[in-house]
This record gives sequence, structure tokens and C-alpha cells, in this order.
Amino acid sequence: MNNVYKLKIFDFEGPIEKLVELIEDKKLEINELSLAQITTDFLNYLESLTSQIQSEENKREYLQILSSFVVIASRLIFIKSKSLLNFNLEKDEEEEKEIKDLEIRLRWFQEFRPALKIIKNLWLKNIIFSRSYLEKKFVFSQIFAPGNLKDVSFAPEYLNKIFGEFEKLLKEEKTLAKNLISLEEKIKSLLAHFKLIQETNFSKLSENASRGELIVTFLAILHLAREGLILLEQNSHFSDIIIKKRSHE
Amino acid sequence: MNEANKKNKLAELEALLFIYGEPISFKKISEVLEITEDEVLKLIEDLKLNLSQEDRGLTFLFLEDKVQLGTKPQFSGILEKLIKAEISENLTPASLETLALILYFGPISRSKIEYHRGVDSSFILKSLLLRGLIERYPDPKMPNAYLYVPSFKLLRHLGISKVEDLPDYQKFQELNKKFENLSNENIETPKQDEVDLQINQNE
Repeated sequence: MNNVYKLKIFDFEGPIEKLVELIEDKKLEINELSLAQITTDFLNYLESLTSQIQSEENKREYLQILSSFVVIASRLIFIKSKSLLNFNLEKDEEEEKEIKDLEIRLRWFQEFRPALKIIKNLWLKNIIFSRSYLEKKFVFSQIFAPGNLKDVSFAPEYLNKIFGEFEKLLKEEKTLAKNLISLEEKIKSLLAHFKLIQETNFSKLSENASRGELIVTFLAILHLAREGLILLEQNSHFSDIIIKKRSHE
Repeated sequence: MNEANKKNKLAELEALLFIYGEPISFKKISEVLEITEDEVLKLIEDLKLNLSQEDRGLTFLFLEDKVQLGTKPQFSGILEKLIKAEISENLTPASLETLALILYFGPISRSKIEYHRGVDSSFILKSLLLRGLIERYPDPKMPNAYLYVPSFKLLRHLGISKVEDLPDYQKFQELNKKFENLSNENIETPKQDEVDLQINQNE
């Protein structure tokens, strides 16, 4: 539907402007005789228009516009045939009026035509810029109204509070980063440890360890036990876990 | 208004136009600033004189009963550099014919445009409306018909403050008067029933 607004037929002058152009090209005056003379040229224009716009997708709109060109063309053919056959026998008043009307419209447009050049020359040469309504974007939604502006002693306190919020976030990030130990790292370090010793227990391994490290260590020994690299023993519930290196016989 | 009050209102007007940005009617200004419309017009004249000085960068745009603040056309280059906008919208021959008619003779009906161009113009008018280059409002004299006028955007694109500033504006107004009599003697243009028929088909 959007294509309707980019019809290719807009790339062509309207029939009145085209006729004025054709007459001026031949340096003729606007009258019945000159109209008869340029009929062929106008029909050629109509044909080139039709062939160039054959790919037009918007058939309905295209035909609607094109029909106006056909109306003018038919009037020209009438004028031409009249001049060729030279029949002044019966004067049809309606037809005479129509021809006269076309002539008036052409003369009018001929005088108006310089205006088109004026507009074309002004177009986008020196643009005046302006701005859209500020209200919604700026003035009201982001207004800061602290009440009594004479007393600004509250400002430092609030600023500190605001920065305090940021600092909390930063500290939390640091803590996490410091204690982050991957399971993979822990397994590697345990394997290195078991190269040196045969037996140990969980409380020794997790001495001074943080909560996070404790969990990782536990996961690591479970993993190693599953792989069959160590043996785990626990004599009673909640007693220390004894870890033994599995000997490869 | 005394002199001090007037100066104050002048500043208020400038502030209002700056905040509002878009075209604003004289009526609305008079409501906001709590002065009469005549006083608004006088203030605008004063501000216009002030802005016309060389050390001011802004100018007024006028259309019908509305006014807008914009940058002077000679600074077009600076601002284009700043916003790096690619402004290359073209005017097709059909757009040019239609816009020229609306600029010089608006408010103008579709049937009048079609009479002068000799071609169905409903689609080109829709296209220009969509591009925001023209506006329309119902014709008070004729139901179901519209009158077409230029938009502020069109004025800005042409770098003119008001349509009357267009080159040869008066000359073309007279041209229309000259031909009006001529065509009235011949065929009344356009025929009333023809217009109604077209409107029923398209709107």
C-alpha cells in the first residue's frame, strides 16, 4: 500500500504542463492550430509514459491517473481531425467550449510555469530548522523540584547517599571476585596435593576456607571419588571425612 | 501595557516560542501570556524586528493564524554540518506542479488543482500529505471536500518565513484574477456535479 505514494507516474509532468512545454518547444502560440500541430508529440509522450510504467504495481491508481491523460489526448485528436477535415459545417457549442477551455487552461499554466522553477530553486537550498515540542521530552518529566531552593544544605547529604548506593554495588563485586575459585582449579590443586601425601581429611583440606571454598572443595573430592582417584571414608554421621589416595596396583 | 510590562511580555513570548518549538496559534499565545490577540500580534512584530538584526540567529515562520520559531535560512549550512543529515528528498514533476499551486494559491481545493494540472491528483495529494509537506482541512463552503495548504515543514524546506515572501507572489495572485473572469465567461470551472462525483469515488 505504501507504494501508492511513490507511483512512478509522479515522475512525469501533468498533461497541461506537458502541452505547454511542447508548444513552447516549437515556439508556437497557444491556439487551435498549434494544438493540432502538437497532437502527435503528445500521443508519443502518452505512449512513452505507458511503456515506462508497465511494471507499475499499483494498477488501479495508475489507470486512474492515466485516464486523465487519455481525456486530454482525445480532445487533441478531435481538434486535429477537425483541422484536417476542415469542417465548419455544424458548430457544436459544447465542443467549442471545451476547446476554448483547454486553451485558457494552457495559457494560464504558461504564465504560471515560472513559479515551478522558483519552487525548484528554493527547495532545500536554505533550510530553516526548528525543533519539536519540548514539553514531554524535557520540561515536565525530568523536572527537579526540591521545594525550598533557598536552603541547599540538604544537598551534600543526599549526594552522599546516592554515591553510597553505588559504593555498595562496587564492594559486593570485589568480594565475589576475590573468592572465586573454579571447580576445575580445585581439582587440579587436590591432585597435586595427593601426589605428595597418601591420606588426609576434609577438615584439614578446608582449614581457614571460606564458605564458598568449602563447597568447591567438597564438590571436588566427590568428583575425584567418582573418577576413582581417591577413596572416601566416614565412620559416623557428621564426623570428619577421611580421604585416601587410591593406590594403583 | 506599560513599557516595562511590555518588555517583560516580549521576553515571555520568546521563552514560550522556544519551549513550544512547534507552530503555535496566536490564540493560544494570548491565553498563556494572558494578553489580547491584538497585543500578541504587536509583540510578535516587535520580536520580529528584534530578530531581524544581524546578531540574531532566529527567525519567524508564519502560516495562517500560527507562528513558529526557526533558524535563519542562511545558517542552513552550519546546521546541516552539525546534524549531518542527508537531506536529499527529491521533488518529482508531479509534486512540483502540485506544491507550486498550493503554495501560491492555497487554500486550494483538489478540483482546482486538477483543473490546472489536467490530471487526477488524489494520489499525489495523499503522497504530499504523508510527507508532511502539505496539510488539509474541510472546506467550510463545501461538505466532503478539503482545502489544501502548505505546511510549516514546506516553508522551512524552502527557507521562507511566509508564503507571501515567495518570489513574484503578488504577480501570480493577479494572474489568477485575470483568468478567473476569462474562464467564467466560458465554462464554470469546475462543474459542481463533476466535483461531487469525483469526491464520492475517492473519499
